[in-house]
Amino acid sequence: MLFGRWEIARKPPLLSSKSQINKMISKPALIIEKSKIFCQRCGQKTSKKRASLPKEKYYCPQCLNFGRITSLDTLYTISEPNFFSVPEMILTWLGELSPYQQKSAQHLMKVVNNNETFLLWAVTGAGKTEILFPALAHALEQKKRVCIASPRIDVCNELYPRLKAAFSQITITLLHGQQKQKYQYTQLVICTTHQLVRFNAAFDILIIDEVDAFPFRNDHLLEFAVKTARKRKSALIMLTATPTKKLLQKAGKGVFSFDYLPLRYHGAPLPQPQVFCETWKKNIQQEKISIRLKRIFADWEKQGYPFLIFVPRINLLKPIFRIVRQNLKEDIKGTTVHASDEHRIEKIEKMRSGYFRYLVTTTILERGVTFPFLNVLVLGADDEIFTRAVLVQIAGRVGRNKKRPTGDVFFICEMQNKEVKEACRQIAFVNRKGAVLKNETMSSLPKKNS
Amino acid sequence: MKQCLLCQKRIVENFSFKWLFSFQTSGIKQVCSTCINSFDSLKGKAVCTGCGRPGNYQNYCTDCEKWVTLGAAELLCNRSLYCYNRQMKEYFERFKFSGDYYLRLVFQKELEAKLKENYHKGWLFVPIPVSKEVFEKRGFNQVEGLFENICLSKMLSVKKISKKQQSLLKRRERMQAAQPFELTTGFEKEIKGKNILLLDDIYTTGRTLYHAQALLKKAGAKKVHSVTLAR
Repeated sequence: MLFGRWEIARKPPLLSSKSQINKMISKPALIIEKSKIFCQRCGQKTSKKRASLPKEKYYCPQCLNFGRITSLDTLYTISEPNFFSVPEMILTWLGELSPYQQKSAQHLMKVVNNNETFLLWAVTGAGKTEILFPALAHALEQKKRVCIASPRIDVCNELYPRLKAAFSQITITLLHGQQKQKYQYTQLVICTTHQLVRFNAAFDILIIDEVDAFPFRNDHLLEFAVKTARKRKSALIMLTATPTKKLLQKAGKGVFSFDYLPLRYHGAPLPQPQVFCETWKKNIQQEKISIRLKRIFADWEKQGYPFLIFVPRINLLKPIFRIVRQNLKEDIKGTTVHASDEHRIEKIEKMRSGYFRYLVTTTILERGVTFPFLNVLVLGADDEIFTRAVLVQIAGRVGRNKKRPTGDVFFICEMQNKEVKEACRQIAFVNRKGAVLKNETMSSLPKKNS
Repeated sequence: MKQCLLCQKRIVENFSFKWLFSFQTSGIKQVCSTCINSFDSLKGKAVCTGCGRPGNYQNYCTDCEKWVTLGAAELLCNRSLYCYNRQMKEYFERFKFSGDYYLRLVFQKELEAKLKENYHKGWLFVPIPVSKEVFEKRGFNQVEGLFENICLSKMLSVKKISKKQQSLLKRRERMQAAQPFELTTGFEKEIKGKNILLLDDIYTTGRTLYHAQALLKKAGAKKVHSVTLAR
């Protein structure tokens, strides 16, 4: 249990063997400085006033959610021994990688072997998870300990069954705040980035999925957690579809290596959003709808594909839903969803099964959810809630299926703002990169054959 | 920038000219208005005169009548600031059980004001203690934290074996529990003929407070009343 992980206690934990006791490392939980206290677990400093308990004792309020640590506690750990037995068949995944994916997968293999830090900008629907498989299998074979972390719980929950299927002989621990499974010592761990606080120099490979979705709160803590959860010599792989400026700047400066995967697994480019400006808010208030929108809905009605309508605020869901329903045939069913909706999962399931043709939703469906053959409309794309990353992710819901690699993406706004423009620019940029890559691989493929 | 202690959102305060020339401290709040409004304040509401429970009662609520029949010498005339709702439950979970001692500041000022207003003169303030084990585990006594800036006479202590954490017990078990407190030696003289105000965090069944009352009455206290944060 202690391998590569902190145990917090007032007395040293009881261990079975003497060799383990000798290997055990301990340090005080808090270091008390002149006016601040420094937490050795989360690496954060707090003023004494904020952290004080009676009788000159202190606690760390920053990592309180992981169980409080006080100045009475001590941290215990045993350095990671990589004590794993590797099964014969590691990768039980039977799918095949596209040539574009293969290229990235090979790059990742190199990263893993050389213990590099690496950022992969893979477009939405590129098949990021599958690209990891060869490198993961290779690492697991070498008895390396691997962690896949993501800032978002839903991403973790989605990754878990997929990895479980791909590595069926290997036990995987899933850790996040909303789940009650006890910690188990396993070679492969899937967790939220917050959970990394509990680990110490445990992982040979740390993969962070959707690295741009880091919350703004506690970001120093998470940075520290990522740093300390890895071994000194280890690989760090960051995956994202919408890198932040900061990440790209760092990559540009050469802090870490960096690569694009600008093509989806089926090779088609991302659908370019079409932006229209109109006074939609006023229209909604008057229970009206512009001719343009009417045409769009008529088109979609004819096509027979499902569609999502994104709105910026919860209180807009109902009125917009009413208007949309008026403009569609009666047999086309739809509903509204938002983050704190009780029937959220149920409704999404019904959408997937085809019972609902469309959903009017807030930004909850922006990441991770995949419906085939989708069309998307964003009303009020200039609202502050729709940042560049969110818009790119929304556009990325479309055209994920091989059978229909295209689709409509409409951004409706009062006025184009910076975020809308940047989102469109970013998609265009990635598509240009993609076209170049496609040409390269196309020209290189026949050579291999001849 | 000041953050709300409970939801971490920024607190926006409107500074007026009136305030600027009043030469008062800014009185910046610890908690944002949305958070504080989600607590159910009992200020100005009709309550039971015996236990401070909200509602219109002729004399006392049924619980208090039971206390009379059970032989309580006098009702506690308990007063609470807030109703124990979901938000309050969450607050206590974070404050007491997660152990975020700093959250004591959320209600400190209000409790102080309450004591200054209604219990101005001639009262001894006595906090309900926690057992030694709990104190060691938490590192603090939540009641003393809530009333930090008030001169407290810590004359009660928990008997060595007895007091279990009340929040772990069911109502029935709570009512049957035996006297958990004893007087700290040296305070006997101070109590005689005094008005005593017991301070606690939550009034649930009243068992704890009535135990304390019985003990203090036996030692010669004149009046024993109580104030709690939540009811």
